[in-house]
Amino acid sequence: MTRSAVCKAVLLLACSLATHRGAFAAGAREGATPVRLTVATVNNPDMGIMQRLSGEFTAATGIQLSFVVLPENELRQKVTEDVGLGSGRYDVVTIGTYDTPIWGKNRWLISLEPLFARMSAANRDAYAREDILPTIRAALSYNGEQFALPFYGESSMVFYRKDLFARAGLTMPREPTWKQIHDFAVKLRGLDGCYGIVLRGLPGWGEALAPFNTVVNAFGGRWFDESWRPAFGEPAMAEAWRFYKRLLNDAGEPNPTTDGYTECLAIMQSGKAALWYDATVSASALEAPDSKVAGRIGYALAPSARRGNTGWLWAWSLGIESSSRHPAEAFRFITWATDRKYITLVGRRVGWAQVPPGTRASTYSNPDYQAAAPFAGMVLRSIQDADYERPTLLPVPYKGIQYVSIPEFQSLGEAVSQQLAAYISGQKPLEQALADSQAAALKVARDGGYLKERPPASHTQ
Amino acid sequence: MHDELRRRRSRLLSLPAIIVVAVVTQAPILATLGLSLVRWIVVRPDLGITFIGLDNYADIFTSRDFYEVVLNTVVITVASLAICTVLGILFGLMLNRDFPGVNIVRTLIISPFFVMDAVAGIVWRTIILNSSFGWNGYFATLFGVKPFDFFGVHSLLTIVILIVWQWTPFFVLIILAGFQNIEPEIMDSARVDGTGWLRELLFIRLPVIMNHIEVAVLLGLIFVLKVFGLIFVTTRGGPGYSSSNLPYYVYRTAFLGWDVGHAAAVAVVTVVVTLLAIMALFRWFRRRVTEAA
Repeated sequence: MTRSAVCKAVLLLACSLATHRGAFAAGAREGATPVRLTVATVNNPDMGIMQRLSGEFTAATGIQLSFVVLPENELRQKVTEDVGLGSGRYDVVTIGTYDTPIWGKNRWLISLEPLFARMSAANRDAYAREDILPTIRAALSYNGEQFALPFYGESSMVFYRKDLFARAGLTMPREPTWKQIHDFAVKLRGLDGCYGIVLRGLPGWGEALAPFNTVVNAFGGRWFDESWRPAFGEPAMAEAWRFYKRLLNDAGEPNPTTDGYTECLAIMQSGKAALWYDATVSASALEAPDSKVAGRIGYALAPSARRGNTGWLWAWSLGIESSSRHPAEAFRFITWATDRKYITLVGRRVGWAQVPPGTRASTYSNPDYQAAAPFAGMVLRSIQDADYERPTLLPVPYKGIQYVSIPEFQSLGEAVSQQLAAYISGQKPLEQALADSQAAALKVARDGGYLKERPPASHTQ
Repeated sequence: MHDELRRRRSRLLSLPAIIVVAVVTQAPILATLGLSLVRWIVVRPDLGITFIGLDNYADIFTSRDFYEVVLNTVVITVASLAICTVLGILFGLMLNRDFPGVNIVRTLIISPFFVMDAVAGIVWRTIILNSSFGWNGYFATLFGVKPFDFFGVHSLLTIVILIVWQWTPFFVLIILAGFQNIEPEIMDSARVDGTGWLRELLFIRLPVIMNHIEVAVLLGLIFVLKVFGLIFVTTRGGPGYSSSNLPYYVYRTAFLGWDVGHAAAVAVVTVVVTLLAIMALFRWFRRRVTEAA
């Protein structure tokens, strides 16, 4: 075969392929491919239930769903990378009260106000946005615009083993102090082979720093003073660090720096701890049929020290990325997943103790939920009372209870949580850990333009 | 002239392949170099992307954390390579014999090499070394002692142990191949001369397989310097920076700190350090071979 004949054959083949591909594409357009939404979500039980029930949404709307499930730390990184670099991999993202106002300000998320405005009156009444708890709704807004809908909300509280308390002759007050918690934990350590208390120690601003920051707030500490000067040198901060380590050393699980939320839940659920201080949403997992401690858990409000009302405020929420090509369909999904009807669906299919808590007032007035969730009243009070705007004893320039609501907190919180882990594990003395945290916070305050003062000429810190 | 035409045509035909390889391999390096000269914090779009020259490098070289990470990298690399080499030689000697079950033993020794970093890390962290649910916690309770703190105070040691567990099979494979290629006449002569097993090992076997050891150590150096998955899944580079190596430090700066410029600068420094280490090791081996000759 001559060379020119070969070239003609190749050219002919290329043209045929191009034509057929165009035909396929045209045929596909004419056939109206169903919309597929990509949802990035965190791997916890409530999200798992949502995935299992998502077939109901697809059956009702024809909209397909693909879930990307990741642990919390990795989810946050992946989603921040996606929105920050405009990759557009996800339509719907699961984010929290920390991310939502910041991303709303950056316009990485679509404002939901125009989408709600376009809803029909009937749909708007059915959705009942006013039913969403005001503290949660405020935490998911920026400049009066809401940027995400809460899937479940939580605060923090104490979980304790009623049976072990009864055997030890102890009584848990409704609003304990941290000193009381320490004393209870020490007395209960070893009973039935249990740890006195289990607490998060895994580095990560969404891991150990969540409960730890509420301890800092309770002891009167703060991250920055009113002028954005880091406050790691204040006595109250040092006292909080010492207390957390002492509590873990005296009565906590061994080597706590490997234990995050999942590990602590597993320890408590398997009956290996007498006390646990963590997210209110854990109550449903502890009362689930597969929990070894179901029916034996008591509840108390977040402990106080110099300051009371220290429970944190968090809501895993569903937002729509501004790069999404299907915002209308995405809005249909997030309103479906946060509707009262969805809560009823979970209650009937899975169990009323497993409904997503902490988002709607109507959940807490539902007699079925009240009957199945003995913790409901305490959770509602914790969320309603959470002071997101003024979280500390002394004045601060930031919002947020278990975090500081600035974009740099992801890295600063990670760095400080690593220092906390180094201190807890005995690798660093307290003074060094606090000094390193102070240096990290000072760099953030200066580089981020928060701290306006001139640095000293000697540049010592 | 006809030959010249053919040569030119051959060069033109290989040009597409050269262009693709050059773009794929060099473009990321050039992009990283460029990013290392800017200030770009992803979570602060209001600050924009600004050219700051060598400020990122100045920040790195004045940061105490960076030197801690460099020291960790040196400790992890030297300790892992040394232990892997010794274990590679010992296991190689053992497997270079015929004994019942040698194939099963060889498979078991080599199998860790085929387990993915992340999977190996998760298994070690949650099933074996976990203080509450793992073997660590179980045996500690059995003997009435506190579980060993693998991921706290001893995090760096744990990382070295896990790297050695995973990479020793690689060394075994290469060194075993070396032992199996030694001429039998050399060993026979040694035995006839009455050489003991230790002198035979130190002065005959090891010098003969020095090329294999060199290949194993050089390749091992490249792979161990790049370890990331094991650290990510087990210690997350902590507590503090105590078990961070340079690749993990780059990740932490880029995806936790969202400081792209700073991370790019660390990445550039990492590449330079890696190249210098490989060149130094290569020269050392060449000098030893030349002296032996």
